[in-house]
Amino acid sequence: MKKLVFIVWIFFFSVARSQDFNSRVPQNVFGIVHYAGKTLTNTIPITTLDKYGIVNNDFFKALHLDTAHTLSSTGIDFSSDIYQYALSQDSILGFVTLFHINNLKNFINLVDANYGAELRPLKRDGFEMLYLSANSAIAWNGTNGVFISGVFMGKREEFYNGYSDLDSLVEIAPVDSMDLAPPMQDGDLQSDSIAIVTPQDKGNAEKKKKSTGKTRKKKGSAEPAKGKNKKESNSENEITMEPPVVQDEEVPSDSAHSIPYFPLDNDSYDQWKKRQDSIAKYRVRFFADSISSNHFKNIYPPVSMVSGYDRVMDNSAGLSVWLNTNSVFKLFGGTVLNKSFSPFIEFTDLTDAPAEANEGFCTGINFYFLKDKVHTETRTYTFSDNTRKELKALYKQHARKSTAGFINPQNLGYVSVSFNSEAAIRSYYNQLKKYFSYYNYTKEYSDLIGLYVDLMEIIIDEKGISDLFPGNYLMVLHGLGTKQVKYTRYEYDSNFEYQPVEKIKDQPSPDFSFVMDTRRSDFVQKALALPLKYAEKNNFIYIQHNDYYELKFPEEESVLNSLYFMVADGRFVVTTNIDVIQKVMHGQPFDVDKETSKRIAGNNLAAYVDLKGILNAIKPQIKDEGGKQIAEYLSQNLVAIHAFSGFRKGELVAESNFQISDRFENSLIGIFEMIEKVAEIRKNVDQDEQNKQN
Amino acid sequence: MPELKKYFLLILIGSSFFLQGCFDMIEQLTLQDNGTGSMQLVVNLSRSRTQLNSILKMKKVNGHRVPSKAEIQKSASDLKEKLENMDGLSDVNTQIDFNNFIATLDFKFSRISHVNAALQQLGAKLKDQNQGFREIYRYDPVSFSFLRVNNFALGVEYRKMSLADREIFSDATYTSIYRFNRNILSVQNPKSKISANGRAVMLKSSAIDLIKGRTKIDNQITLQK
Repeated sequence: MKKLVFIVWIFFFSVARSQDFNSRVPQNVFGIVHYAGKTLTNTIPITTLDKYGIVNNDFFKALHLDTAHTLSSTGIDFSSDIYQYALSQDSILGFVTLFHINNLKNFINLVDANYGAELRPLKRDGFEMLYLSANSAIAWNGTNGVFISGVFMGKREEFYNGYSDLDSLVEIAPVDSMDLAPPMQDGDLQSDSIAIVTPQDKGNAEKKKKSTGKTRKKKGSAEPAKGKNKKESNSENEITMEPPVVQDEEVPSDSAHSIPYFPLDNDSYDQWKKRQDSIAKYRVRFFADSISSNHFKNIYPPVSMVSGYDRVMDNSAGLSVWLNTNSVFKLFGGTVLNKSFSPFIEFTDLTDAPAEANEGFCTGINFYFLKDKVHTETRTYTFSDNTRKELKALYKQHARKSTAGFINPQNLGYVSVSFNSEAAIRSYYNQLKKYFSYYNYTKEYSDLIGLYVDLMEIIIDEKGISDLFPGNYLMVLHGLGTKQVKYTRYEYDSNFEYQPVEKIKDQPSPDFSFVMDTRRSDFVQKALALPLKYAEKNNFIYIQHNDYYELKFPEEESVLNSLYFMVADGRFVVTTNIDVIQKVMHGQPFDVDKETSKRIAGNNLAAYVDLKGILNAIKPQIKDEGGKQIAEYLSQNLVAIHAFSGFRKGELVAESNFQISDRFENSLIGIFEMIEKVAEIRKNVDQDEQNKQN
Repeated sequence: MPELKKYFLLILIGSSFFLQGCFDMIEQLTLQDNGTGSMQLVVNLSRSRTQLNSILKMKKVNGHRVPSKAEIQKSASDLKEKLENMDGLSDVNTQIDFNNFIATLDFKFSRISHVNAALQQLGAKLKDQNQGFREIYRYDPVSFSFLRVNNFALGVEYRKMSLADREIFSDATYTSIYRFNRNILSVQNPKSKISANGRAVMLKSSAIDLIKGRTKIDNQITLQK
């Protein structure tokens, strides 16, 4: 009996193992998306999804799957987990989707019908594979599949449009097997061997290589490069890769003037472009082979071993996204960006891995589709103790409890931000030093720059700055009213002579407050008094009242009537709302709910948007019929967005709730219903217009 | 054409900022029997003046760069200079009222073909590949027949725009007025109206109706001999 239990257990375990993609995700990915199949299909059954136009029409169109109209007929098992990951490897920026197959016949039908019978799948070791285009491929076995999409991000050969610098031209004409790749046509390489090379072709290729003469010899003959490529393909993929053969038109004939690789006529650019596309295509297919082969070999450690994955991801969430900001910044912003978050963008060589790759962040965003809201939990974790300490110092400061008193109960939205500005400035010195010590052009002078930064630190009074701006800010949108403003239109008499006529119209007018803490009220007071001296000279109206100042805007000229400024209780206040000033003066804050007070005082960021309120306020301003109907529908079904975040237990934790009407079965269905309805409104309005036209 | 692009950009950002298009465009052409005449183009953004006042203080709105008043003024001067140098055009005047945000261009012409040439040149500078500006007016002084042709595929251009940018046309209007010193015998466009004195034709339409083809700009006006 024990044996039987053991066998059943082993069987169950092996089945369970085969049902997920635990060991199918490489460790060097920079982004992972996890769809919890069971959770999602329990939330919204596939049969329900199939009813939506966005799925049975737009989704398949976007994938160029013209014959597919329902998810349930694709053969893909959406009730099992689906993973997508992104990585950069061998100069390819790749996006890979891993999925389970529950009906192989349907799946093959789907592939056959949409990509044509002329594309013959390649039989590989335990799986089949099909190159779908220059940038994509799909591979599958009986139970699961992998869709690979890649973009070649490596350097391209420079295009030279002149004979003047022949030496440079020689330099930029690299010769290796990869560079000799001819333009591939769809359907190329559809055999067990990557390239189909006939003996005759090979002979021709050899001839052509010889015929290119001096250019190629100067750079180094093609032979070593060819060997190198073969070695790469064998070691990484165990797939035989022959270098593709140069086609006649690609190689200039041997003559005394044959050094320029590209002739100067109008075709030269096209020829060059064709060649670059061919190289890119070849590299992407190499990448696709590598990914699919490794996928079916199950060779990777568990996905939970990916840096920080388990810490920030919750696999019970319907949808989870993991990002390694370190790699993302490296990819899009250069090596230094992952350390400094500098805005200077520079694309660097993807193969140039950073030495301190573990100093970045990883972020997990988990989506939970609840009854009437989409709850999002984002966790950001840093691998660096130093960065963690800096973040802790940065976020140790919270808003004062009384800050919430500026928020009126009927407000349309607010954002409260709190951080320690002194810590931010101090941290910035480190970031500057890091940036310049890693940036290619300045790292040589990093010691000198470090000295300058130290000098800057000595000169700048961080404490003084943080006294003026301690780092607590609040912006409140109290409401959206209307204000009458003047404008000019033309009126025509019976002979169509026109005259300008002044008219009045209602214009949306925001009612808002901006509140900033300060420990230097004296300084701010002086600054606020200063415009009094210049108001008359500069033709604006700035008035001092007892405890506050007023900047008046010309009547019927501006959407605002007045802006009020005051300093009180260590706060600088700018508002359009005189009630706010009165409340501050009399020490009578707005009576805000406890939850709002708690969120503002307990987080570094707290935000709220009253979607329903804003839609109701802007509805009268929308002129077109479709827009009106959509705004009306959405105002009945969208409620609000709440977001708050703070630094807790060594992590940046952010939560948000996207609240919708509770009339839907759940929030995910609600979102699909709303998308569907908005599309329907648009369609109906267009149809009505069409009918009117006819 | 950078100048016109700047005006268009101003319209675009001014209108898309508050999700509504509020501008009026007036095309007024006065034609004498001998084919000479004057033309006035007016873009009235006054309905969006409060937004435009705010926007002009910004650098970018909705991804579009905001030109400064000085840049707009310079573009207007450049435009004036270019038109002044064209054959058959005189008394060229450009005016931008930044208080009400009304831009006006007017000039006199000695032949209607000069207006076409001027507009065609503007079209070339605008990189108008579809030749939308080619020969939009025709006048036959023998048969006293005046023709207004629309060569622009407005709907096609409109569909190329983002949804936000399309909003600029939601409440915009277009008015054309053609004046003659003879009585009008007939008009071909059913939506155009003849004035009380019988010597002017007006076509007033929403921009959306023009874009969607519910109203045609094209018109053939026949004058009494």
